[in-house]
Amino acid sequence: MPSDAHSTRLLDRWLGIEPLYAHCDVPCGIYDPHTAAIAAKTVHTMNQKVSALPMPGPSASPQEHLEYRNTLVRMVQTKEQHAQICKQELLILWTDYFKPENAGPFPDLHDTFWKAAKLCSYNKQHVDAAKSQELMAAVAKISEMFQQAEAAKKK
Amino acid sequence: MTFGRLMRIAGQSMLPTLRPGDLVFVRRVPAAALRPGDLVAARPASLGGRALVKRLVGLPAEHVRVNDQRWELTADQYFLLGDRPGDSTDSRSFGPVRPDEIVGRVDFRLWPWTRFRPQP
Repeated sequence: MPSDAHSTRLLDRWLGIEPLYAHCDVPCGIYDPHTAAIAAKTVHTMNQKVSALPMPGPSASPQEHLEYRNTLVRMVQTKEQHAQICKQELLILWTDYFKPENAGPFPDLHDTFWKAAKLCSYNKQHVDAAKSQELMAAVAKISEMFQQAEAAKKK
Repeated sequence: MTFGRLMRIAGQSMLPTLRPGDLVFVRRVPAAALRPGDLVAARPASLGGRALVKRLVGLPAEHVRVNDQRWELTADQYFLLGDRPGDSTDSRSFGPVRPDEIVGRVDFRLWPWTRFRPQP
C-alpha cells in the first residue's frame, strides 16, 4: 500500500498496532560509528607510541635491539590492523547505513567518507600523528552525521 | 491483550510468505507449544525493543546447522531464521532467543483479505 502508507501508519498508531519487522537489513541499532572512532583513536595512540619509543643506544645489547624491534613491529602491526578496521567500519556506514533517503541533508557525505577512507590508507603507510589526528576528526564528523540521521529518523 | 495482538509487517525477509504491509494476528502461546516451522514474533533484547518475525527452526537442546556454522541450543533457547536467509537478520546474527523474548506465534493474516490465510 505505498500510496496510503502514511495513513496506514497513523491508523496503526491510533489502534496500537505495532510494526513487526521482517528485516532484510541489519536493524538500525546495530550500525554504530563507535567502532570506527575507537579504531581511529588506536591508530593515533600507536603513532604517538612509535614516535616516543626510545631507540637502543650505542652500547645496547643484541637482546635490547631485539626487544626494540619486537615492540616497534607490534605497535606498527596494531596501527595497521586498526586502520583497516576503521576503513571497514566506515565503508559499512557509507554503503549500508546511509541511503538516498537519509543522505539528503549531507551534501558532502560522499566526499567526507572518501577522504576518511583515504586517510585510513595513508595512516597505514606512514607514521604521522597529524594525519591520525585528522582521521579522528573525520570519524568524529561522520559520527555527527550518523547521530543527525538517527535523530531525523525518530521525528 | 491476553490472547494476542495485531501487528503490521515491515521489511522483506519473509517474502513470499509475508509482504510488507500485511496485517497479522500474533497469538500469545507458551514457548513450549511452539513447533519448528512456526512463524514467530520475537523481541530479542539485543535489538532494543524491536519485534521481528522469523521462522522457528531450532528448539531447545537441539543442534542447528546453517551453512558452516553450528549452534548447540541450551534448554531455554530457540533458533529463528528468515525465509530468505540471504536477506535476513536472525539468530545467526543476534543469537538464539529465550522464551521471555518471544512475543507469540503468527497465527493468521487479516489483511489483505484476498490473501487471508490461517497460519501463513
